[in-house]
Amino acid sequence: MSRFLLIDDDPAVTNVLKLFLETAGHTVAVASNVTQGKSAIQAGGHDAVVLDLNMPDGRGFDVLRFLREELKSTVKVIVLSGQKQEAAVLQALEMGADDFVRKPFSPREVVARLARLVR
Amino acid sequence: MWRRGDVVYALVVLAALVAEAVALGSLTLAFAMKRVDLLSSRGLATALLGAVVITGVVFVVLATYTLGYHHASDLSQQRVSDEVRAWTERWTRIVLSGEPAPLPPLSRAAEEALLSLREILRGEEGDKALALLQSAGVEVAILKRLTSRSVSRQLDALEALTRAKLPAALPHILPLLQEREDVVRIMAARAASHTLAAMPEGPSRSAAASSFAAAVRSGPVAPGVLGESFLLLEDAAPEVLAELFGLKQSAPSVRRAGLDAIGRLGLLPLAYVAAECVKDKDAEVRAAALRALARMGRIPGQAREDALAALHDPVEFVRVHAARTVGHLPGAAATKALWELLADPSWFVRRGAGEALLGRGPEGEAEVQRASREHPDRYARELCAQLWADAHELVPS
Repeated sequence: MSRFLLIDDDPAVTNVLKLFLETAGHTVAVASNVTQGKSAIQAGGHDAVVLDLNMPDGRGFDVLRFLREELKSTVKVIVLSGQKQEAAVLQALEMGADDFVRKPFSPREVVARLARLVR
Repeated sequence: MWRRGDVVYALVVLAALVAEAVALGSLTLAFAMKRVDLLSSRGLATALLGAVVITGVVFVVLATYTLGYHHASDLSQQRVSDEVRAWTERWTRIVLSGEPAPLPPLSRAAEEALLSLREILRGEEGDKALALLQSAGVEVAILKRLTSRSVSRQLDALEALTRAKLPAALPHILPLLQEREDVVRIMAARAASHTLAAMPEGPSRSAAASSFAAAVRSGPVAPGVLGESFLLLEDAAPEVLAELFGLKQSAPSVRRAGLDAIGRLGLLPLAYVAAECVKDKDAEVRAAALRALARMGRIPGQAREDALAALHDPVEFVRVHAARTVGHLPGAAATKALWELLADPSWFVRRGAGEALLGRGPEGEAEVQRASREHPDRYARELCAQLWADAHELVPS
């Protein structure tokens, strides 16, 4: 079973994914902003991260940059965002995200994508 | 438009102003009486002290009220946020495991949590959230607020409908596009677009698209808002726009917004609509049609002659957009037409023609370079020389 970190300021998103992932037997940690997200990533121990792009204290891209450029981490990242522009998807993938899922989302699909990434 | 708490605040401020006016009035009267020896110095001192005390009390009351209000708001917000969080967890369990749903009426926190879930979920879980909105009485509660005479309650209901995307609510939303208040019409347009965008393809969506097109065709909503609404339609946009242009009496502002959406969304199957509008009698519509074709970068065969003819349109901004559109046409005829347009009396049109030529690749660039030396019009030569220099500064060889 895997350990996941959810970084999103919307409790509805984190609640749904947490419940789905825990029901599937995984361990889940939640961070509700960029600062908490960076601290949790630094503490380590996660197999994959689900990352929102727009949060109250910064952008998900900052977390992605921190993860890939400063920590040189290879942890898997799925960006989960309501942004519809192709540019946001491309930027996220270029910055090292492994996948991009648009909101509204199917929780089953996100869980399946996470399972594929950490397999 | 009064929000909750505004009336109490207004009354407190009014009482403070009245108290202050009485104090200052009494003080003025006391000074006037003292001047004609109708009041002793002791009496004046008492009036002065009274005014200072009243002012002090007014400041204390206002400061206490303001601080108290913020404190109470914070506590209330925290309580609501905790309630919403608890309800989100409960609704998620209901969606996931099929626990029985609570019976109506629900609290606003419960409604808010369920709307959040509906907003973020799609697929099977999204359908379950939609069914819960209906079975738990949220749909009925929102529609009841929608019929309120209070604008703020109507707006609140429209925002909830934007998030809920309830197909059954569309017939209640569309009449609000004719409301007197601008803000209600704007919110209604957004709510309708979001609802249509969430509907699966099929006869229901087609019927809803027809109703939406019929509701907006007379131009009750500002073109900018309508343009935004068309973009929000996402996959439902082609159906709505095809219906809209099928209607004979659409207002020019509506046609313009529709054409902009066709261009921005790159709806190639609707390029024929833009092609038909290139000869519209409204100049703004002609320009929007040409702009849409230029954005899509593909000009249907039936519009090629009309696009070339639009280079001689009497309206300057139409010629500018025609130049950009003709830039996408293949063949020597288009190049020749743009070369001739370099001598247009309008600087903007000449510039548009030059840029369109440059956009045609090496062949167009060669034409601009040649025009900078050989064009019979002196202004065309100067413009092309400038364009050539600018282009080569941007892309050094």
